[in-house]
Amino acid sequence: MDFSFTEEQTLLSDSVERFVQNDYAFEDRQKLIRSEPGFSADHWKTFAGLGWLGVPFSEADGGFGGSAVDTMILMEQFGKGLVVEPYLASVILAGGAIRIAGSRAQKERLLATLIDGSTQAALAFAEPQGRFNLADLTTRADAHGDGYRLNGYKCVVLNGPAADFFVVSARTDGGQRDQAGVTLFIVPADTEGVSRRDYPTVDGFRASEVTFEDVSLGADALLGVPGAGYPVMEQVIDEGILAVGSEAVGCMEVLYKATVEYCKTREQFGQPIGKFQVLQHRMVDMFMEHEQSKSLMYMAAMRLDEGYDDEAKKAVSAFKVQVGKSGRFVAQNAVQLHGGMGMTDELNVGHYFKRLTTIDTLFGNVDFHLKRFGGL
Amino acid sequence: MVLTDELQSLECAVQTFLAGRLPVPDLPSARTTFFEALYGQGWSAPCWPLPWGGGLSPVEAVIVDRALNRAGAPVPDLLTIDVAGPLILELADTALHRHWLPGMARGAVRVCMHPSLMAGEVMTGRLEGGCFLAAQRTGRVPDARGAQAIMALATDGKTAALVLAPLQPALVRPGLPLEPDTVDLEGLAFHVVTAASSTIELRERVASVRSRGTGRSWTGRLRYLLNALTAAGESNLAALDVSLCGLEALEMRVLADPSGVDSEPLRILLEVRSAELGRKLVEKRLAGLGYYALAAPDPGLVHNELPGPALVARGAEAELIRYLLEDVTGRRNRLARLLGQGG
Repeated sequence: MDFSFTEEQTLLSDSVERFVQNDYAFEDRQKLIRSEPGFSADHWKTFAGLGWLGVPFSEADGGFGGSAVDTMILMEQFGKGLVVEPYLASVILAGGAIRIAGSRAQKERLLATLIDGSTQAALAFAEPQGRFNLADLTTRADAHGDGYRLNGYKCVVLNGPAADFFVVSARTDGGQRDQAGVTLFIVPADTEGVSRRDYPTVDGFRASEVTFEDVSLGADALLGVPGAGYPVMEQVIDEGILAVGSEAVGCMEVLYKATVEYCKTREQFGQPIGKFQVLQHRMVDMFMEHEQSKSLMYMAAMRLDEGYDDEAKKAVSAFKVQVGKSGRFVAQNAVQLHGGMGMTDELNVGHYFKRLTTIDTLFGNVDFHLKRFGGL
Repeated sequence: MVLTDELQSLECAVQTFLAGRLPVPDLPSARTTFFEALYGQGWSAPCWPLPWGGGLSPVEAVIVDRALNRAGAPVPDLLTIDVAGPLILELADTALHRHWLPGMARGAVRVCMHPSLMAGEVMTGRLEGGCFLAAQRTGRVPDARGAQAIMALATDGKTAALVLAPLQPALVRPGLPLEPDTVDLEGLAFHVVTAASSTIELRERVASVRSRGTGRSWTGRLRYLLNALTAAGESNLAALDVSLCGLEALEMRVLADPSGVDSEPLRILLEVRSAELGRKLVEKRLAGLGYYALAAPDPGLVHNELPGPALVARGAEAELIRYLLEDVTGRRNRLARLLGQGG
């Protein structure tokens, strides 16, 4: 029962916290999200230089050898600054799929450049009809000569605009919703037949709708075993949930603290509004929601580090449910207690609200994960 | 989220002890035998110091309590072990220790609480030597039925005192369902646990003892209740289960801070949220049993104004709700102060 961080973890947490405090002011972030490509290439180089892009990868793969707890620490701090650099999409999701299913050659070729920051990637897994079912795929990859021919459509591909390559899930066998028959492929973004429609998301990130039309892939594009891509996807998405959930916990902490500070200074009826019991209790509830989410974050991270089994899946789903409910509660009350200012674009509160709202729907909302939790 | 080897061994020891030893519900003799065995292990009042209790640390006590509750084992009355016992241990002399504590630890003496301990009123009477004679005719006391003792805050106009008296069944007139019982107090001779120059000073002394951790695992009780609901075929429990998982994770964080200083806000959070979840579980269970569960008003109700389910519920559920719902508002206020929200 050890919740204390190791020396390395404390250093990691401190260095990310310093970066967010010193180099990620809210006004700078606002400029970034209005610019192209929607994040800072310099920050990305800094991430690479500090070793953060290698945190989830083993030392054998050229990474930091970190654990789920390390990712949690990093993402929680990112959440406090609403960091828009595509760490989740490129490192956790696409990088995670290669880490779990990639061959030695693929890891050497692809992970090295992801870790040194010279390339970026995206995981193209979602389809409009699938909602949160990772196996519901109409994108097909049919055998063609020594390789495959890929046809289909993927929506909300996070970091699609900046990705040098995509990790794509496609059906090579079975029915539309069968878990067997899902195969993963690595598709360079400039391959003939790949087209994108890029757009900003409501929370300041970038995404694409990606169409694959008769895309010819060689045998070396295959990631992992044909037809066995579903368990890989499930694990990657669960690791992604831990990452965005940790980010949400960071967001909630900022909102709670900002609200307390605001209520100490905003005066009404001749005294700070924080003196009113009803508002104190509301802030107590915000504190409680944040701390309950944080507790489940620790549990999910520790379970994932113990091994990816049903217990880990349950912990991840419980965490996602809690984050969805708590994030909404904390954000709504932060906006309410800030009054009209809470809704303005100039104040950061509304931006945290948007990010928390997006996180709730990302990788399965509260209802989806309640059902999954109950079924495990 | 794993326990240390020592705590795991302790948890295994409790589970081994319980195997085949759980008493038949509602069979008093079986409960008595069980409590004796539990007392023999030092687990009936695990946080009390030796020789009266188990002498365990709060963390160890939580592990014991969690294992007992997850198994659905009966535990001695919470108010007796967590409130009356520590007050006697801290504030009374050794003669009163010897007189009261063994019976309480064995589960043979249950102490009910006069409203003066939970609300603003104070019992009146005369102080004669080391004895306090109540002048009030009656008192409305929750759960006085079946209690062997009564504790109160009293005053003779000059001195305030924390007092404790044996309670004969004939002195208790059962109240209506959902109502406190009535106790005939006039002339009842109380032992003086401790005295002070004012009720304010005495209340502060009592609050200081009560604010300490009790070594209870609320999640153990909640898990038992949830398992009972599952066994009864209740559906749609996933949301409650997720909430409970969150509280279990929170409890582990509290346990990981043996000093309890840094985790004080988390401990209060755990109590408040456990109370809220406990009430939902009890209401669901009562509904499943065909009881009409009253719509619960604000959870910040004091002890003598508890909502229906707490009084209709029996056994472990009633104890849980009664204990936890007591002064939820006070806990929230305390949390707000700890977090410096008022500026």
